[in-house]
Amino acid sequence: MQNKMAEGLAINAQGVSKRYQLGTRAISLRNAVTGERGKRPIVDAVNKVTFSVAKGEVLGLIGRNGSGKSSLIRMIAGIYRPTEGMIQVRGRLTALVELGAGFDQQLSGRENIYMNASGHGLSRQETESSVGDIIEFAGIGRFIDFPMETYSTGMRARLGFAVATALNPDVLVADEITAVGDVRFADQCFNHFDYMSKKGTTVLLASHNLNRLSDVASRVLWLDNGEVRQIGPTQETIDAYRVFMRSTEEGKK
Amino acid sequence: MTESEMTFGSEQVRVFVPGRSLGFIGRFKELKQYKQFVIDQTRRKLQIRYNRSLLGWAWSLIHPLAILLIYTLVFGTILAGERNIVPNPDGLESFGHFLFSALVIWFVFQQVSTTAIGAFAESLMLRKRLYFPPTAPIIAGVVAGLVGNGVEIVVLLVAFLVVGSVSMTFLGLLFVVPLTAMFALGVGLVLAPLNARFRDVGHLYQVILRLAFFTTPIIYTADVVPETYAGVPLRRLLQLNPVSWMTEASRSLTFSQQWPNGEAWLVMSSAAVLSLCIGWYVFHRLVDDVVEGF
Repeated sequence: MQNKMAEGLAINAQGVSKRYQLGTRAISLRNAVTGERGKRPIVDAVNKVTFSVAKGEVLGLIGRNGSGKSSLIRMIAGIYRPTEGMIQVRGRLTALVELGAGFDQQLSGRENIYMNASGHGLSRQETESSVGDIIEFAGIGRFIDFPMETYSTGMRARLGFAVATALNPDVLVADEITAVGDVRFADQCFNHFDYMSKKGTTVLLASHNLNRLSDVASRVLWLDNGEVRQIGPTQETIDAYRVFMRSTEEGKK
Repeated sequence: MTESEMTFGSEQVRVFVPGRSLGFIGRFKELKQYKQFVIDQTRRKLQIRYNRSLLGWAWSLIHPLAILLIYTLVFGTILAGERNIVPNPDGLESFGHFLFSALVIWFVFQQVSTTAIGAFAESLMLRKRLYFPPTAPIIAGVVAGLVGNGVEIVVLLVAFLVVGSVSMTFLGLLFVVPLTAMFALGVGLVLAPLNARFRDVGHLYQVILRLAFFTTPIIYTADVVPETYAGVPLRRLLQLNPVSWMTEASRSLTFSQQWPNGEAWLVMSSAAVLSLCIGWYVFHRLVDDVVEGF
């Protein structure tokens, strides 16, 4: 029954929560022996979040630092399991939690393209046919055959983005990936999200870049303290968020 | 606790709910879907293994040769007088041949189990950014490591070719090596998530390996071990260690040039299959919590 999903939806989250129990890494032998584990702090990063994204829609995800955006994205990507609730995703999903995650510093950019593509579930033939486009899109010139340790942060990000978008996913979720790189890179990213959604890809985009987000998003979800504060038309939600951020001291970054 | 479907395809719906993310069979199917990822990870590990070294891949040859030389020197020459410890083979084969014929199998066991533990711990950082089956980096690391073991076995073969005593029984290694690797992988799969939680496990395992090296018939044969010693059934205890059967089988195939008996094959195969099944089960029981551990 859980495999049934309303037609026309790409992402469906029902009452999703994520609870972390912190401090397990710092567990001491004494704690382990005495079973004194209840004292570890508990964080409810995401709390009963319900929303859905229609096919081909671009949903913006906004909220303060620590509001649960990354946890939500990780759960949609299958990296973390929800503590509660259910998430359904239709079609092939690519998650960009960090651009170029898994790039090996000692390998060349070209070698890393193949590695990264297979990490996102692409077959060799699929990568083979798009490697030219990826290199062109990344625009890093002759550096493509140099070891990755010679790359700047921006170059790494551009290559990571180029690989991920070449995958042609049905659903793309991205977590604040435009923060690295220069203005032109951010432009390139947002333009590409727009282009992909026009081709039918569903995009879920967490970003602090409210101006650009308002250009591409069809709706915006505002998370606060792990809960849905507001979900609705782009401009309306972003405006409400701006007012909120100006009114709170903690909002200052 | 429903299992989610992991099939790629544009209309496929994946479901994420609390509880274990995939069943044990589902985990296997998923791994097959990530075949290319495993291949690429394996290639990467091989590619960067000898980066920044002048001799590069020659090291994979120098290493076993050096060990062969050192052990021959220590046990074959310096300790050669200790007849009750070190057997003195007849003919052209040296003590080095005797030792290395079992040592290659020990190396397989040691490499596979240690790599499994290390590769998993290493993969956890990336796993927070990118989804992949948790066994993928383990398989990749182990396969890359087995390439090194392959070189050691070639060195062994050459060492026997030099003295002109190679028979068809050598081919038996094609079974003993995979069985050893399977057994070791099972051990590694149990220890890998435990080690990710408590790093003490990895350190303790290194100590146990040192001890196991001497309680496994490598520098001696099983039949020099007394049946009982001070009331302890030593020989029986030795047989409880599946790796003993494997080192003995390897020595029998290469050094003595005899096929191990049916019992030996039965013990080795059952140990390998059982270990891998238990390892696969335990690993996946623990892995989800370990991956999200803070």
